[in-house]
Amino acid sequence: VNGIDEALARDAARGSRDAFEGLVRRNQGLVRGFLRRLAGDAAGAEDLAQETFLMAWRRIGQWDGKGTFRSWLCRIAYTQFLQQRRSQNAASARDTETFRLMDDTQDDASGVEARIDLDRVLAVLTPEQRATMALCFGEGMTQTEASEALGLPLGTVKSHILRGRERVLAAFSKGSVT
Amino acid sequence: MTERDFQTYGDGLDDSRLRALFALADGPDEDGEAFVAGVMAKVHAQATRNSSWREAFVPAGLALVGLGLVTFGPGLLDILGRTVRSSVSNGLPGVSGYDFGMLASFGGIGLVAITLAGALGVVAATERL
Repeated sequence: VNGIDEALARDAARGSRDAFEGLVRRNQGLVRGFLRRLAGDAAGAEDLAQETFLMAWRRIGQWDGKGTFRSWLCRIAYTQFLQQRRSQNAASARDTETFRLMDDTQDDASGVEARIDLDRVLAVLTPEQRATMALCFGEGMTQTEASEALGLPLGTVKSHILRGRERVLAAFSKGSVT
Repeated sequence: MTERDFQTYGDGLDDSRLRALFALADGPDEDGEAFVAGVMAKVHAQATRNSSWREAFVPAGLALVGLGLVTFGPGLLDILGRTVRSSVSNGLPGVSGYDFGMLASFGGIGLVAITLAGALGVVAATERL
């Protein structure tokens, strides 16, 4: 799998829109999934995902080939998320409030219940912990890839995962999230 | 997986259970093609817009470079020549302040013009602005 993205990225950097379309097709699930987990808002995540790919198209020439293409892409997505979050609520602490239910076409009871669970999990995590855990547990990235994607030292990524895991466990075992 | 399921994990919150939990955010994938189409429509629109930029700025950039060369080239060459001749015949102390002033003026203005033209050229040559 690795190497195809990178080859497409090199072609896209030379101006090939077909190659870029291939990159979008191959990575849209990753970026959208990551942003859904990060933002907890499906509609907002879709907009951010579009912005991420447009930014990637504008900056494809700056991709230096260090690390994987998908970690570079996730870094753009994370930056987009942080920028939007900063501009949207400079004052309010969105981290601590319960996230809105994710928009979904499914309306069966178990689906709603499951989403509430995830929302509650996300709500007890800091944005850094959420991003790190979303990449490692949601997108199957290695911790090294996650550190590249988020621009964080590997030790910090490990620490976020450890603390995030503790937070999730503590929140539910204490029943503070009900 | 529901909250009740989650609570039964107790202390056993291992990686596979976290993966299962985060998988809850996986939405339906059937709209993937629509997403790709939406992104590519914007990419095409952006590229078209940039192409218009390029069509407008390549001639402008080239014209500016030409203007800079025609306007400042002879003056610069003249001043450079006189400065070199003066330096050779009289040594550096013999170079007049006038020569240096003119050189600096022409050189500075020419440099700005050529830099601007170059910047426009770079912008125009790059498909993605």
